[in-house]
Amino acid sequence: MSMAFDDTTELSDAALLTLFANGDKEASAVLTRRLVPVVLAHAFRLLGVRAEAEDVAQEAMLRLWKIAPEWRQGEAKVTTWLYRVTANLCTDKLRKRRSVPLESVAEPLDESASVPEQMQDKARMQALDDALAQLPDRQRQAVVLRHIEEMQNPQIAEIMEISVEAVESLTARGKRALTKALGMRQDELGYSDE
Amino acid sequence: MNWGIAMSDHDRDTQMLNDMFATARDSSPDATADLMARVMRDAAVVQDGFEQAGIGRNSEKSSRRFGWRSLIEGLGGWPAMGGLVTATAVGVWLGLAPYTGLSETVAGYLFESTSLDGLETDYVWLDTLDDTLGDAL
Repeated sequence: MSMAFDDTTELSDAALLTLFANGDKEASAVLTRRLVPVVLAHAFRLLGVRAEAEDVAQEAMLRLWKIAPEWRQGEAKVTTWLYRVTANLCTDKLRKRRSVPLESVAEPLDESASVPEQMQDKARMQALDDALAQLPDRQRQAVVLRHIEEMQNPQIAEIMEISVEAVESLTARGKRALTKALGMRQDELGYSDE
Repeated sequence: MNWGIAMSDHDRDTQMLNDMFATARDSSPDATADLMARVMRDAAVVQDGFEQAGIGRNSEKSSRRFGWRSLIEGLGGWPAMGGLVTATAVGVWLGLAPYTGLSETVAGYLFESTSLDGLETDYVWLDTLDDTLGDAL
């Protein structure tokens, strides 16, 4: 028997996953609403292309559904596991992409955006995506988790299965590389006179 | 605002990066209804697969099987079950198995258990017992 909606939404991700494995339909609905936006956002920040990020989000969630009967309560958090799977799927996508010109997969600019600020934000986001794409996979993931997702280093260390010191090193090197790549475009991106 | 103090290149770079990170944070894509529907469809297919494979406890039959497996594990696994089955069979054979009050199905089954001649059949036997008891009780 499914629990009442209000009760189900109070449960932890792990508890919902167990309910899902036991046939509870409502559990999958709650998990989908709760986790898909998180996975999609992370995939989008790693890939910079919405369609690819959606494919990754769907695949990551599919893997979560399949692993549900084997999920052990009290071990890794569901979101930690999902961040790992998402990052791995994004890395696969990026490797495949390297054999294809970036222009053919980059997110098209919204031609309808007429407000200068919107145009500038888009240009800046495109520049950031380009710069992030040039980073080694692990540096990119660490920078995104630390500076865009705003996670603490111990949590990032758990997701990436490395030490906190390694996280600090990756984020520092990543930021330096981003600064170098974007510093040359300050005028173009409208930062020179701010 | 720089309060009239000239910003160093480092400060300007840091401010630029922080600004771009903040913009990226604010521009997360919304999950579309189509994506949510695709994910939910996958969930339904996987869940149906669990049900057909007897995984989980949503069906009565799989629930009873889960109970037997848990019981067997709790008793020490199949080696312990082998000894238990043998001892039970001997006890029944010695006449310690009055079946007055039991349904014919269960009583018949208990007599069948005395003819067990190999542990290889234990699993099948218990699985069948599981179903038989479930139907009789």
